[in-house]
Amino acid sequence: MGTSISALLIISVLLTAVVVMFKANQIGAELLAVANKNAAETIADRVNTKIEISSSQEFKASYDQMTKHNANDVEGCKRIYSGLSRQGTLTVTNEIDCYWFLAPANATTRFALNKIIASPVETNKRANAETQVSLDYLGMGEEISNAPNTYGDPYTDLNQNEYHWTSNDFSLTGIATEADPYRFKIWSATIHQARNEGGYQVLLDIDGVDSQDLSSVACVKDFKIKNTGGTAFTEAQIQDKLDIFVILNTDANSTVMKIPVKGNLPLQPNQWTYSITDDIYQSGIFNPGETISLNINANGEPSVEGTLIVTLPNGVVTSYSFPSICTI
Amino acid sequence: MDKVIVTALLVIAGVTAAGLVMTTLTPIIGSSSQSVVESQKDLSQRIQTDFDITAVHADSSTSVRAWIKNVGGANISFLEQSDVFVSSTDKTQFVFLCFEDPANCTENKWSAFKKDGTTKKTGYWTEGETIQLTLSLKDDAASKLVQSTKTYNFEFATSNGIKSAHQFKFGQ
Repeated sequence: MGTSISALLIISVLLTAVVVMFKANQIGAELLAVANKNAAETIADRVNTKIEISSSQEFKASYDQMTKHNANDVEGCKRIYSGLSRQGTLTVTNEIDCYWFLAPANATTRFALNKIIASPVETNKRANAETQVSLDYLGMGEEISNAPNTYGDPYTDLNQNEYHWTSNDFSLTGIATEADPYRFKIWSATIHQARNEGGYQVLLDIDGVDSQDLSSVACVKDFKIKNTGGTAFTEAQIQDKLDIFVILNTDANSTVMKIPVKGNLPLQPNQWTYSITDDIYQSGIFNPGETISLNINANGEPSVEGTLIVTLPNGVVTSYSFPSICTI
Repeated sequence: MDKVIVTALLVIAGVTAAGLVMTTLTPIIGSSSQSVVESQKDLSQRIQTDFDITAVHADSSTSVRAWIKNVGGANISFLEQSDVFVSSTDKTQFVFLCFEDPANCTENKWSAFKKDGTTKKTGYWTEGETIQLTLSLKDDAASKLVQSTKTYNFEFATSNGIKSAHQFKFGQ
């Protein structure tokens, strides 16, 4: 009888042990299953996340700055770089434009000028380009004038039915400086009454001088972040968990990392803010298809090219190269 | 009479034996099942631990900052027990950095801040949070970074063994 009782007790203990172990395994398996599910959801969420970054750019203030190098200039000149065309429009109220540039003395140079016939040229003059766009190279020192017979060399007058001119090669004389650079003007050389001459595009090409690209004279006004994936982000996620990094290439072998923080308008230096530009569905939530306009106040930082790194709340990282960030 | 005594002795012996088995087995079963649960819990914690090294920037040859985002489904604890390494890809340099807190960690050390870079990071590293690690390298040839020509690996491992690496250059 004693044997039977003890056997029963032992069997019950063993059964309990089996049940307890089974339960423990079950709890553990549930934990693993939940963890695997969460991890899978996180991965799926990240795979499903994608943004595209672009930007609205404008010219740097220095590129649009007009400088009078001669006290008698009727108008200040803007800088032009080799390989980077400039456009403008001669109108009743803007009869003359001028440009300055730097280059090594004696460098071989050439101009290309195109006439662009569109508004504000009157409709009846558009068919045969009944306008005049002239270019006169003035060299160093000579005043910028709209007066008759103030010609330069080389020069051209694109008259009726003339749309394009490429100059012969010529050598630059004198050692130009920023205070006394090479200059040329675009005007109507033989038309002395104000009228709408239309648009032009001028390109300067200097041998031995590297061509500039647009990025060297432009700056980013705001960045556009388009949600091209399938994941939505709440306002709280963007406010608290969106990371913005700005790397500025201060010189060839040196960079500066800036980490602007979320701020509100008006932005203080080293702050960023955003708005959802097409926020029609679920206000405040950054839904697929919507675009964020991101403003960064980089005042006081070098106006140089760099890289924007955007880390979304779920860790997806996207980068974008920019020419520089405009001063606010 | 003898039979009764024998039976009684057998009952006593049986119950005693059963009691011994129970007292011996019960804690074993308890701890065994507990360890099964704990190990599964640790494993689930590891599965849910994930982070991304978002950016690494060398401010100078001896100063590096790294930003790391917790992108997993769990808070990360014991940040100070994490391991941080910097090594060159050409395998000529390998630096293990110690956490700044112990007094004996004076060179090749790292410290953790919140994203703002000024507030020290303490407590849990929460989901979605980005922290900044600031690395101070010893100013000698074996440790400090070489500008532009070398590529470096920044490696970070949490206390539960999840690790990730990010390549960077000093000056780029």
